[in-house]
Amino acid sequence: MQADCELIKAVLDGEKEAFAELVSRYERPVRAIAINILGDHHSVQDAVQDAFVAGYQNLCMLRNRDSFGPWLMKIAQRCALDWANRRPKEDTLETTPAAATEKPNGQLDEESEGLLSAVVKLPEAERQVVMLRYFAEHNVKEVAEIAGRNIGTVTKQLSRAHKRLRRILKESEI
Amino acid sequence: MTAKEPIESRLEKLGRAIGSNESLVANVMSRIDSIKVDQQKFAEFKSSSLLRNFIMNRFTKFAAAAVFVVGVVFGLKVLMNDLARPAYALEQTLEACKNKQQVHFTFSKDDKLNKAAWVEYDTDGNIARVRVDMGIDSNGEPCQAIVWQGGHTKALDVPQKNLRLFDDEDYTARILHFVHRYDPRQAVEYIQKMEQKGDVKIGIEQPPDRSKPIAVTVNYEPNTFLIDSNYPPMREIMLVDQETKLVTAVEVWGPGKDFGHKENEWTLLGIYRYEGYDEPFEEELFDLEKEIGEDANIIDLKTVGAGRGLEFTELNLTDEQKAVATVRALFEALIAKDYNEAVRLWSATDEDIPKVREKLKQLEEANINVVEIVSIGEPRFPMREWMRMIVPCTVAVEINGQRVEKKVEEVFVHRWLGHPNRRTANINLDALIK
Repeated sequence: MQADCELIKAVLDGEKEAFAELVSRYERPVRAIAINILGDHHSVQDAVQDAFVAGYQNLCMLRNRDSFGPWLMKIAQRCALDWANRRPKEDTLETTPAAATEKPNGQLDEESEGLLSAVVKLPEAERQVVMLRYFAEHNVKEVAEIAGRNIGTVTKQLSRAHKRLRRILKESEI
Repeated sequence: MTAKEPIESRLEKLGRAIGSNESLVANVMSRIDSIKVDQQKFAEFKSSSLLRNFIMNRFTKFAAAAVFVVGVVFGLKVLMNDLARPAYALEQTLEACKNKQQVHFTFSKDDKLNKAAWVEYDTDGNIARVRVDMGIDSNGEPCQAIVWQGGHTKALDVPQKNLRLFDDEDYTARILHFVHRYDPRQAVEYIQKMEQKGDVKIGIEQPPDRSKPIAVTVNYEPNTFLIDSNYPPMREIMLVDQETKLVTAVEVWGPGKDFGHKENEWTLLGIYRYEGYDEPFEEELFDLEKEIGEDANIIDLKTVGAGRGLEFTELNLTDEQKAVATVRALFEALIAKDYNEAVRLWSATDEDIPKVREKLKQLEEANINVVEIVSIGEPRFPMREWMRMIVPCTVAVEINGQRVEKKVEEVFVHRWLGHPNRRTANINLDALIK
């Protein structure tokens, strides 16, 4: 598993395929950010694409290549907010149909939405490892390699994130 | 998804619900291609005009020649330095580790993270505090986390949320032994001593490519491997960074598959990776109380269980003698039908005691009387255990007035954490009933 910083170096050296790997790697984390802001499916796709394209265009400006993940998340947030501003106002009156179970492709039930908004509230480093671990489905060792951190650090960050999420969710129940 | 589900599975479900779009990569890459074409045109134009200017300029011609000469001189210097570089010796690693204040290492088995340790030293180089996480699962959660600091140990059983507090020199020695074993500084000193005694053979391989690590192969003779003495021949390959001379990993190899010894056939048993030197640890890493939260059970073993089991005051008794005495006391209580005493000597948690009473009641209802201890065999520790012993016994029982001798293989004698002279025992009573 190549670290993000290695892939970025390859992209900047002209290897386009390396960016495709970054897109696959961060697709779900970026989608998660977009869904949290936009909710609906179509503009999510657009925002996700925009985020990756903007990431590619600005890649040479990224100072710390190890922080690609959090940096991309910020871009994703900005792109999603742009799309949210472009939407007609009446869209916001739409009600989300209640559903008890998970739905495919970005339509979330109420509890999932709550959990997702809790994930988004995590500190940057914890959010990145949670997204890579659970959304992008990497194991701890891979997450450590991707993020350029120690395995021990990742395990601690995951464990802290679990606790923080439980607390956030508990508080939101009250 | 329900609020009662573990957070890990809720996150996994959320990940699946977020879903993915198969055409995303293709769409993004095609958009990037169109951008790239423009950039390429720009870059080609820019580089061709720059190159033309560069070649035509007299000053840049001179500068290029100067750069070439400097390059050749520098290259020769590097080459001479490399030739003059002394061969690696283990002392260089000792020197590099000498003043390190923190070391963090992990152990992975079959590529899965299994253990992690954080070790902090005081200014004299003695271990000041340690945290060890054992049985780490795929989410990075340990099954048990142990923190040792200043002679006091805290052991957190994560799934049960039990935090046990105790002071136990034997336990500490074992924890610290594990740490010493893979603390690079002490490990290197150890293998050097072993080499002098002829117990290990050390081979050093230093690749000319300085980006590749130095491999120090240590072959252990049988029964010389560090943790347990009854090991077969073992092999470790210590990887050392050529620049820093710090150990970056230790591969542990055992002979053949599942220790079935075959000459020159080795199986990789696991890898210790040194994740960081001198990277200060977060204070909360050593704060298990904070980590476990408010709903934890904090069990102070210094006070819990007082009055249970046999407390041996004669300090020169061996573990075996203590085990035999405990088993004898338990069977004698059963012979005397003193079930309160039997329960007192029994190894069980407070919650399990009613079950033990129930079993003893079954024994009585079945009209089974233990009447005599026929023999107590030689106690032994189960493989790689040191906190409990198995004691094979034969006792005579009367069933409906008939005397029968019963072999009871599963009699366990437990040593208590924090109470090295306290022993309790338990018996598989089914062996008497059936």
